[in-house]
Amino acid sequence: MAKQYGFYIDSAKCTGCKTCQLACKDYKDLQVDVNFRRVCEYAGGSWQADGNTWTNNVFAYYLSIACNHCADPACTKVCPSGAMHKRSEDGLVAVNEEICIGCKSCQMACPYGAPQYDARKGHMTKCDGCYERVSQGLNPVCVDSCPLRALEFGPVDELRAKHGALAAVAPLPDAKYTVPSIVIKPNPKARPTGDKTGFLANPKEVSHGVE
Amino acid sequence: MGWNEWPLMLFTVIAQCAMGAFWWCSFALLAGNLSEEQRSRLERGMLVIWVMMGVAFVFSSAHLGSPFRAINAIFRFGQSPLSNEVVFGSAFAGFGFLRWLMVARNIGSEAARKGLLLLTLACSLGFLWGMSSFYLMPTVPTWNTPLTPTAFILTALIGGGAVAATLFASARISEPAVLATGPVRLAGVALIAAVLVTLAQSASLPAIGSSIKQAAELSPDYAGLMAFRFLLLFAALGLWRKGSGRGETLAVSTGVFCVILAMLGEMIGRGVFYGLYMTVGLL
Repeated sequence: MAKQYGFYIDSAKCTGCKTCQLACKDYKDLQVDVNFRRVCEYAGGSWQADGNTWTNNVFAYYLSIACNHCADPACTKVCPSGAMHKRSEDGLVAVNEEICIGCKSCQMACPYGAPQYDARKGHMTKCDGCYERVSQGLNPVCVDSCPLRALEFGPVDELRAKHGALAAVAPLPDAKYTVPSIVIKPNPKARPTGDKTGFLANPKEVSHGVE
Repeated sequence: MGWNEWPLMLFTVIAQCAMGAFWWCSFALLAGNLSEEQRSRLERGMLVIWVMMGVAFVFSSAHLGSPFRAINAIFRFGQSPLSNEVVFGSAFAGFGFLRWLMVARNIGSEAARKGLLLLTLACSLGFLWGMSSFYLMPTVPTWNTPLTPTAFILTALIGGGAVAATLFASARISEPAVLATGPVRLAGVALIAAVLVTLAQSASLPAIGSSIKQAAELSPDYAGLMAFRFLLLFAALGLWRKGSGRGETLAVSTGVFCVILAMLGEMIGRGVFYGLYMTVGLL
């Protein structure tokens, strides 16, 4: 593979404003129930007794997740038509909407909720990394829209050299499943992947379709 | 219950029952030592299997967003489990129906028909393999277990066995014993195995979970639905056993009723299966 683009997600900076999600929705002209980029709010904690005082360890942080353009994508493996494919030129995972039959297998397989069924179109749709913008030297529209500068885009090896190799914190799955092309800067309150102490505070904003 | 996947609930259960019925009918044709009349009645009755496959495929296409592009599903044959399932499933139904036509119109030699029967049998196994491997997604922990293909095979033996017994009854096959009572005996064993599979699954669910979802919470009515499922299955088996015991031949009407009960029961079980969908991540 010539190149593998990916996202850097700064969960320490992200305030969960969802400008990225809406910029994408506008640029890609998405239906109400389709969101290529979604902001997960992972929250938890409670009160703890410490002698005669009670302190809390409450936490909440945000993760802006679109497609992670995985090195080992679960979606392309299950696709029966080949519509879901990994582009050889930039490593971005995209769906060929002319071929897709709308069987939703990719949606079942992806643990990030990236492929989403568009009932109006009758087939799957997903974040394609704005490869047309990228080929013109531009960033994906979500990255440029972020008022916190919490998102970056670039060749994933450069992102890793700059920001490290962390690709999973709760509630994301272990990176071993699909080897996502993302780098995460964890929030100071971040919990490790597999954590069970928190919960998804905005399930209706993140979940869709197969629910 | 995974009602949102109702087309797949119907498709998988009906197709698996068609498979199981075909296995028994093939066994009867190949090794049953049938009389000419029994053979021709059974051959004619096997149309039921191909109608079931046709109905199953209609339901499966209801799952597609773009059913008119369904042919694209075979593009990744050999690579994608769903492509394998579609190719082998179509071949199973296509060769089976072709053979039925050949027998009905008296076309082709005995050897050609036997060859086609063996080919159809092989396709049914490919179909089962494709269907099972589709659900073994490493990212879907509640499906990615040996219990999934086991449950599919048991559905074929219970529901498909009931279909086969009804076809045998309508072909007036009361001998040998392996055909007269074999399907109900094997279905009985399969039903016990299905109870064990359900116990094993319910024991495994508490250990499956992500940061967002706990498998044990996905189907809060798991116990009730499974109890209802087994009520239907045991009722089917009871009637079937009673109707074919003590040298009696199963009445076709009883057989049809048992088939309906068994398939309804298995559809409830399949609904629970789809309801247990979750991923290791956000969904």
